[in-house]
This record gives sequence, C-alpha cells and structure tokens, in this order.
Amino acid sequence: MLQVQNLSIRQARNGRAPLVQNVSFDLREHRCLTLVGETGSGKSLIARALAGILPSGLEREGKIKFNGRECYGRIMNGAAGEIFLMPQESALALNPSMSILSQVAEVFRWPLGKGRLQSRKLAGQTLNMLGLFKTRQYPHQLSGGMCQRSMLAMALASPARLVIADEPTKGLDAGLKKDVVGLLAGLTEKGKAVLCITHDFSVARELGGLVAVMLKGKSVEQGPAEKVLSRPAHEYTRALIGALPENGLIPWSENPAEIK
Amino acid sequence: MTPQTRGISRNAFSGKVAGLLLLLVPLAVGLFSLAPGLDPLSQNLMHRLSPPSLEHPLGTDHLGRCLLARIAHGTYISMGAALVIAVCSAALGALLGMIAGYIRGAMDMVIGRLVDATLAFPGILLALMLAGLTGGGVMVLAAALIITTWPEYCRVARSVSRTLSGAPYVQAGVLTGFSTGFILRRYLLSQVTRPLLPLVSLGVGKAILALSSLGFLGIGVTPPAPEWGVMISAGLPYLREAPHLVMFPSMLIFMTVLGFIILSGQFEKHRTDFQHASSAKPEHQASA
Repeated sequence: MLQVQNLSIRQARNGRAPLVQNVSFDLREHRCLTLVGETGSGKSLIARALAGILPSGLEREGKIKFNGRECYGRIMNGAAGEIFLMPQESALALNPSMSILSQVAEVFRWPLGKGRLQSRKLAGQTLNMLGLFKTRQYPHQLSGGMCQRSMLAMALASPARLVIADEPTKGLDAGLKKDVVGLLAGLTEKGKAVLCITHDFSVARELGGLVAVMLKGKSVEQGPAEKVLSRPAHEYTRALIGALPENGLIPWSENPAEIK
Repeated sequence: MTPQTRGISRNAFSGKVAGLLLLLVPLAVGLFSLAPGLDPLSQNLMHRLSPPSLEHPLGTDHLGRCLLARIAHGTYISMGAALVIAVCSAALGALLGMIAGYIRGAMDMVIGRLVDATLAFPGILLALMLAGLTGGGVMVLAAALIITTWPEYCRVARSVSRTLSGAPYVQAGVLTGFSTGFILRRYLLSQVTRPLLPLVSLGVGKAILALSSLGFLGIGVTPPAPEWGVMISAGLPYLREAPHLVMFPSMLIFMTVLGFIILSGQFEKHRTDFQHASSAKPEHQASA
C-alpha cells in the first residue's frame, strides 16, 4: 500500500545535512509500522512528508508510492480521503468553530455519504466509546487528551486506508493509553494500515507489527517489533531500551551524539 | 473599581447605548408608519411649515406633509437599502476573498487586480454615472455602492483565508477528503465572518451616509419619496423659518449611524473575546 524509498527531507535553500536521510520502508494493509526515536530525530517530518504537508522551506527527495502511484504535491495527489493524519498537536487539528460531535459527524456524513441524523448518532456513539460524553463541547473547552481522543474518533470514522498517528498517546493516562493503542491495533484488523510515531516503547510493543528506530534523521534499525525490542541489533536501540524505567533507567554508556 | 470591572461596565454601557439608538429607529417605524392617517405624501397647504404640535409631533414641511410620517416611512428606504447594500457587499467580498485566499494561483491574481481596480475607482462617480445612464432610483444607487464597497470585505476575507489555508485543522480537513466547497463553507466561513461583522456594521452606517448624501444631491431617490437625505435637501431653503425640517432627519441619521458604529465596536470586542477564549485553556479541564 505505502512504499517509501530513500526519503530525504532537507531545507530548500540550505546546503546543510538533511533532516531526514534515505529512509525506506514498506507498509501493507493489516499492518502497523511504529517509528520510534528521540525528539528531533525526524519522525514527525516523515509523517508530514507522507501527508504532503511539509512546512514551507523544506523539500523532499526520494519516492513515495501510495497504492502503486507515485505521489507529489502539497496534499498528495488523489490521496485526500485515503490518508488520515492525527497530528501531534491534536487541539490545532480540530476545527475551532465546530463542536466535536459535528466534526466527527461530518466525517461520517461526507466521505462516507451517510445521512445527517445517522451521522450524528454514529459520531455520538464513537465519542462515547472513547470516554467523551460532553460531545457538544468545542475544541477550546477540551483538554489535550480529550482533543487527542476526538481526533482518534475521526480516524475511526474515516474511510482512510492509511492512518498516520503522530504521538497518539500524548497526554493520556495509563488506562486511556491502553485503550487508544487497542483501538489503533483494531484498525489494522479492519484492513487499514497504521503508521504510528512515538517515543514510547511500550506503545510500539503493544501495537506489534514492524518497528523502525530513528536516530538523527536516519533509520538505524528496522524489523518485527518483538525482535527489535527483545534483541536490538543497534547500539542506539539498546541504549534507548536500557534507559526505560522498567529496565532500571540505565544511563547511556556513551554520548548518543556519538552513536552512528 | 478595578481596571477590569471598569472595562466591563464601559462595554456594557456602550452596548446599551447602541441598543437604545438602534431601537429608536424601528420603534419610530413600528409606531408611526403603521398608524392610521399618517400618510407621508398627503399634502395640506393650509398647514405648511407648521412647527411641532399635537397633531403633527414633528411639524410639517413646505407642502404641509407630516414630517413624522415622512421620517418614519423614510426609515424603510434608508435603513432597508443600507442593510441590503452592506450585507450584499460583504457576501460578495467574503466569497471572492475566500476563493482568492484559499485557492490562490490565477484566481487570486484575477480577484486581486479586480480589487485594486475597484478601489481606485471613485464610488460617488460611479453612482453619478449609473444614475445619469439609468435615471436613478434606490436600486441603481444600491448597485453602485455594492460594486464599490465589496473590496474592503474581500481584502479582509482573503487575508484570513490565506492564513487559515495553512492551518493544521484545514489541512486535516483536506486530507480527510472534504471538498473545496465544504472547506470554504464549514472551515473558513465562520472564521471569516467574525472579523467581517464589525465591518458590516460600519458598512451599514456608511451606506446610510452615502444614500443620504446622494439623496441630498438629488441623485438616486427622487422626491416625493421620503428619504432622509432628500428631506434635508427639501428643507434647506426653509432653514430659518422651519429648522425642524433639517434638524429631525439630520438627528435621525446621526443617531442611527452612531448606533451602528458603537455596535461595530461591540462585535469587535466579541471577536477578540472569542479569540482569547480559543487560545486560553480552562484550568478546570487540565486533566483528560
């Protein structure tokens, strides 16, 4: 479904090193790929490049194929409606002038062509399932976690075949985090592909599928989640896993900036 | 009294003043234009230029017509036409501005040049030309004013739409698969309307002034139609003997325009309050 070959992102008028360098991966239906890595490693830039909404001043190189079609442009040509992006700042991705019920209902109504009343009913059910009961609230009346769940409700409603979730568990407590990860995993069972971006290894473990570890714009290790997380091959992955609280918060043996 | 409460009481006072001023006009229309026997065109030369009395509360004009009846009926023309002009102008400007700001490209360039050309053209001159070509009338004046006033709405709408077209929620809407028409209607229109409302309110006031000025000059609404500017013009030769002929319509124009200006300030305040509310996170909802 999604093939990324040698994706690089660099500043258009700057000869400095690229922000993302030669990243390649394949993502198929029913599968999940989790990009993990420290802050600033280029994970969110990859998400924006895939959605075709790179910030101005940045340009991409390499090939992105979606459903066998090479994609260019500001919003991927012809891919609108087939890709759903849950950005890191969910509060900014919600329409400030519409209640969350209306926003989720519009996804049921327009891309899916359902009736007005049915759309609102389905939207209400989806929001309630995610623990949102005051559905007539506006985005500015919601907390970060509530906005996150509202976006997830839209992702669940959307007919998109690829869901890109950038830090989907940000601002959520342990219980809700588990539910959200479960719902994302459920999307793959419905035939969708999920690209999840996180720095939380527990999310990668629970989602399963494939994991790609990012360091300074490069993918240093890729493979099945179980293998990468239990038997990491790259020293940076080992350092990241070793620094997790459950592994005793072992400090990195060397400066991560020196890890190649 | 803290600075904040002073601000609130001042705003509340402004709101009441605007409401009172704007209520006076429809009240005058409601109470007097529907009253039996108050005909704005019926003449009585025996009672010409009579001062305010019980029979004629605002006096009579040089043809003995009841000034109150004329002012009340004139409200329909002046305020009605001004409202239509401001709303049509704003609708046209908002539509073109949103298209230019969101779609950009050639459409933006064409609309931009149209705005520049329209702004460079004097509105009064266009009104004079159209009145000369067509013989005048309220419709002609309204058309001339709509043609010359839409660019100010268009520029604001374009600027807001251009900024919003890169907003994450608009990009999310496009990715979700919503059509351009849907994005314009449901994502941009509500955001464009807020900064336009104060302009529309000001626009109504400006349109009342423009209509009255053109009426005063004898363009557009023609006598004996009871338009406020026409009434001032007709009363001007009798300013010494019957100052009420000029004073009452002038006062009404002043109060109505002032009311719309204050109302414009209220809309502006509401807009900034909403912006603050949207950007601030309520403390009581800190947790999910």
